[in-house]
Amino acid sequence: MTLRISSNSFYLQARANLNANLLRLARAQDEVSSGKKLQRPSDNPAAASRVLARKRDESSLDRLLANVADARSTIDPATGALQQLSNLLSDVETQVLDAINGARNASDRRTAGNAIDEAIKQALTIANSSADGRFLFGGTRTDQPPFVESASGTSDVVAFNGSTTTREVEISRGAFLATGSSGEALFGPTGRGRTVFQTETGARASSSGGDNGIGSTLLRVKHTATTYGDGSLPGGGDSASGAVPSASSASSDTVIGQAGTHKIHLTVSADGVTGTVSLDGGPAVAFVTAGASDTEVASTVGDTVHLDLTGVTAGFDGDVSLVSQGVLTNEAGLGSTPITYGANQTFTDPTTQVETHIDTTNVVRSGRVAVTYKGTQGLFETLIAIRDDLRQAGSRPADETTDLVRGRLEDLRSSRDAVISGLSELGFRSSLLDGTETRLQDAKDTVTTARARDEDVDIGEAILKLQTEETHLQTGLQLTARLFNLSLSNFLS
Amino acid sequence: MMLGFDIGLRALLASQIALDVTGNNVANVDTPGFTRRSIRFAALSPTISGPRIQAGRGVEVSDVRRVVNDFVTARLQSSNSSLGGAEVQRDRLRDIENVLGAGGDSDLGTSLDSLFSSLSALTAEPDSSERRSSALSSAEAVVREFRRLSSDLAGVDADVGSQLASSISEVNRISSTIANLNVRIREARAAAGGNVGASAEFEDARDAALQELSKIVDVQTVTAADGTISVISAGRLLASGSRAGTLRLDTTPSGEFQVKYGSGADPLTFRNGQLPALLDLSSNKIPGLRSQLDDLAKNLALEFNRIHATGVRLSGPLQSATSSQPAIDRNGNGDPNDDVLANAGLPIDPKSGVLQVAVVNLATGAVDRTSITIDPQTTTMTSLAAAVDAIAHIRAQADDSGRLRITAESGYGFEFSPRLDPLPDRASSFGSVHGTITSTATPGSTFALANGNTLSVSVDGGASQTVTFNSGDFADISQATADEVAAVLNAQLTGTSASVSNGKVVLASLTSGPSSSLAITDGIGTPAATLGLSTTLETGSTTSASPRIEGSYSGTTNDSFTFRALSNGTIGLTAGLQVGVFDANDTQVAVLDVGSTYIPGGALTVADGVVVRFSAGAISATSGDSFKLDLVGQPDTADILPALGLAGFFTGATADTIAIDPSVDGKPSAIALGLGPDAGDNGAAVRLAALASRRLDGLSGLSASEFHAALVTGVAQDVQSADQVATVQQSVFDGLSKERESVSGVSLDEEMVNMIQFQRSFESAARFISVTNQVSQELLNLIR
Repeated sequence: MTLRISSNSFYLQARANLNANLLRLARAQDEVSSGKKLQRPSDNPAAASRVLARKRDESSLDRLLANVADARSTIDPATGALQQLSNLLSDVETQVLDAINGARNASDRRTAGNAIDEAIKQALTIANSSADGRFLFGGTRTDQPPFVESASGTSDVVAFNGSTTTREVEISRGAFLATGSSGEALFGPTGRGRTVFQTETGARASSSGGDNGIGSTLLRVKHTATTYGDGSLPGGGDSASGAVPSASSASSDTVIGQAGTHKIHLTVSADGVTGTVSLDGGPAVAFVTAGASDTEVASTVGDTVHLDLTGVTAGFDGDVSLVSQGVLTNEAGLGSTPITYGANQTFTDPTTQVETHIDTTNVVRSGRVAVTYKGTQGLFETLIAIRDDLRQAGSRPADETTDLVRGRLEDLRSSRDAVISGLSELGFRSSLLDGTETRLQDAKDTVTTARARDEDVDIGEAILKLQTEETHLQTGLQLTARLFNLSLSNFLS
Repeated sequence: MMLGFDIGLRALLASQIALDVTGNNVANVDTPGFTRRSIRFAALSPTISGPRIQAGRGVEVSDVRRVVNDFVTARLQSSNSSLGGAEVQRDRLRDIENVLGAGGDSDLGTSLDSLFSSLSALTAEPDSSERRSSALSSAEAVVREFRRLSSDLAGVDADVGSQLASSISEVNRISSTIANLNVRIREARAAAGGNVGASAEFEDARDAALQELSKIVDVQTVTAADGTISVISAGRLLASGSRAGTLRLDTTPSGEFQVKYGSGADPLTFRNGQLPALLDLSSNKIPGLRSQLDDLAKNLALEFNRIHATGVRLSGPLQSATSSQPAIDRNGNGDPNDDVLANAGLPIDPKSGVLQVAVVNLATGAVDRTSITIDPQTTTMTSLAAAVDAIAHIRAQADDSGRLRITAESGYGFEFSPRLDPLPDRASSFGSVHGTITSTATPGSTFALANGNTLSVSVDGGASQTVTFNSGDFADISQATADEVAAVLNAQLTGTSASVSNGKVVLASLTSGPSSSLAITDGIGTPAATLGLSTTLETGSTTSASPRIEGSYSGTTNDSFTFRALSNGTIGLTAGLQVGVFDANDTQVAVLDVGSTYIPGGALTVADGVVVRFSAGAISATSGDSFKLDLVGQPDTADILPALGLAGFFTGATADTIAIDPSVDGKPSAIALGLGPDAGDNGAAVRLAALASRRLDGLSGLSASEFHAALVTGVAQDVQSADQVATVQQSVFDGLSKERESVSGVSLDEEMVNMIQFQRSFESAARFISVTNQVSQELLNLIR
């Protein structure tokens, strides 16, 4: 405590206090007008450090949110494209089913084939969809069309030119999500599945698998020889009834089977001149023994045998068993393999070395077998094969075309299933992104709030402080004014 | 009677002087540094002459003194020094805080953040040219910020330097002022017969000068008997008597400021004041900050470049590249290219390690790899250029400026990326259309052949050809190498081609298809068995298995995958056919089913991101069908690419030299964001984006953004403490000023009271004289 106050100390004190007041007032005003507690880091270094850390967190969350948005932007156009494709394939299936309807003729089928060609072009366009100049289905090869068509022999082929890998972006700390899709998985072969047979011969695909064919092929079950009863008569005839396979039996009979599968019922008149014969309980065919050297007998389902009945036993009335041999061949008739009536018979195509495993236990007649190695061909290969089959409608029997195309339709359905499954995977990704976005946004809100606590001023509090400082200043000024007027000279006359 | 007049006169004079002094005090009430004068009266002693008793002879003014407390003055000077130093610290640190511009929209933290955000956006769309351009702009903003910070800090440094210089001049000026005043004081006192009060004005002036001086440097004063003072600071005499010492500013070779005395060589250390604060800023604080910024720039560039140099560009492999960081001629012989890399002035030290150079055939995409070993203690730019030049289809040289220039021949490009070779079976060993037999021996092994060994080869079912192994064809026939064996086979056989692939001997018939065949039989000795060559007939096939590799290797070490047929068969047809995949240690990493379950052309995932496709060819384990794929996880373990500034993203390693590499500047498609050749590959982009939060060793385990934040917070803390210190010092100084004021300050009211007092004395003295006069008149009247 000083013992003496000089005039100057009075003024000095007044100035100092005034300055301090003004400084506090200016500070308070700054806070109110800027809304910020922290004008510069040195105001509160600890808070500033926290604010900077929170800003880093916010930025990192913003980056993740941007990635989520980017991921989503690849999903929407892809979903649209796959939707289109799925609808297209559905239409194609309808058209194809119509074309192989028995009422259609070869010309109709060829027309349908051309329509399928249009569909192929459309499918190619969809598969090569792009958004922002980036191809959607090429995996990481986003700058080139993933599906390229080129001529191949008399037909054409669509090759996949993209990559199987897709790039991944970080959507939350350490968690990556694939963006983009690879057309290979969506439109390519779905993976070898069960082989499918379209046939009336009774042959079935063996359950043991092991087939190594690609796409579809046509196999044939051919009849080789029929033997009746004990087969002791020359030509394989039955001594008891005298029924003998006719000369055209080998090439024209359609029945195949071991003993008990088929039988004929022969009735000969007592005089041996006339008689009736039926196959497998079918309509009885009357014959005159003398001229029945090549009688065709058909069953109710259309199987036929050809008999030489000239030597039938008179008065015979009964069933005659028959055993009919057959072989498996490829479409061109090569690779003849006797049918073994086993559950797992292997047929090897001599031209392609393709092995097909067939359950021949229930083979009952000759015919064709349309074999589809399901899942070994992609969408485009299947469509092209169907188109080619339809376009070539006149050059092979209509039934063959029907069977082949039906088989390929199985593959087409698998391809469509793959597309739909792709759609649902995209849907799953989309909802995953939704959930992630919500979480990230929540996290960001928390961080922003925490940062505001340090950085932003409580307006009510700040205004109160401003008013207080104003009052202080006023008081100080008033006091100073009053005291300055006091001086001895006021009182000396 | 006469004495009365004398007394009265003296009284009048004394009162007049008192009034003058009072008036002087009042007049100087606002004069800064003025100390009020106080008067001391002394009664004159009577002269005793004779027995008469005299009253005193009156009054005289014995002294007009400055009212001053030297103790307070000294404490005020010392407080002023502390205040001066604290103010300088606070003000300059505030300047630095402004320069850092922290929290503002264009500060370094924000630009770094933008850069990382644009990189993150590139991970989603690495082939977007807008996003690439945006990333380049963000990078440019970062570079600009670094440069701005560097130059602004240099500006603050320059300000500090010039303030130092002007402070030194001030000190010198004030010192000589003090010396002058010393002289005046001595003379004034001497002229006044030793009267202390005679030098009052000069003493006031000298005190004011000392106050000024103490703000700049801390001072101690010693007063001599004649009134002069010696001023000591940092142990040196700044002024003593009539002499003034001088300070001078010196710079060390490293650019550090030093204050020296006169012509001396020792740097002075001051305890307090503006000068030591400025020196501390200039020698410690500012260089410390700049060095931190440099560290940030260097490490940011290093990590970026490490990732970028080993990435794949959208524009494809490089046709040419020049290193941006030249080697420096340290050994002084004028050639920068013969200095070992450890001592070639490179800002980042290369380590002992291996650089993988990939040469890409632009038409086929095939990749050939060469490893270059680097030892910083022995490798020079010249030897490095020679090693790179030796690579097929690549030319390299170290130019006169110490830079490495690499160019690729037309049709080829080069990279330092981990890009996978899409066609690894160059020797056509694996399921090729040619009849091929591959040695099953361990790659790189030697063979114990003997002179005169023979084997016969029947090519394409033709006549047997005999191959004789003569010592003359080998360096040491008992340790025959694959290359030597291949040379012998090529020399002695027709219709075949022998080559060495991955260290194994591969013999192939030149024809193709099923009619192409090879049959080897041992003749003299068992050279075929020794060489691991199958003696079973091997035929070619109609279609080749043509293995193709896709994807990008995600492993972090260098390795290889060797694909070997495990049995014989046709791909896609033969049930149970498998291909084994073995790593560099011959450990099996995968078994691939290529039998009937495999659809030829389909993709098979091997491991670590490697994908392989086979076509429907025939493969044979018996004839050793195999091929090897090199896997590169670390293309540059020597860090030579960032050290030389080759194929990088940034150049420069300090805040004022950092820039965008010219090969990338303005060329968005030249930014390397992939690890493989596909446009949408974002492997390198992901790593670059991860730098946003990656802790860097060179930054003491902090990420780049954290480091910047710590730098800013550090300065903020310094500013806050400097502010607090300055505030405290200010209030101490204010307190002391008040004390001084209370001792030496003029109080107008007090002086007015004094004035009245002396006025009354004057009036009384005048009255006395009047009375004395009357009395004299009466006396005279009596005489007349």
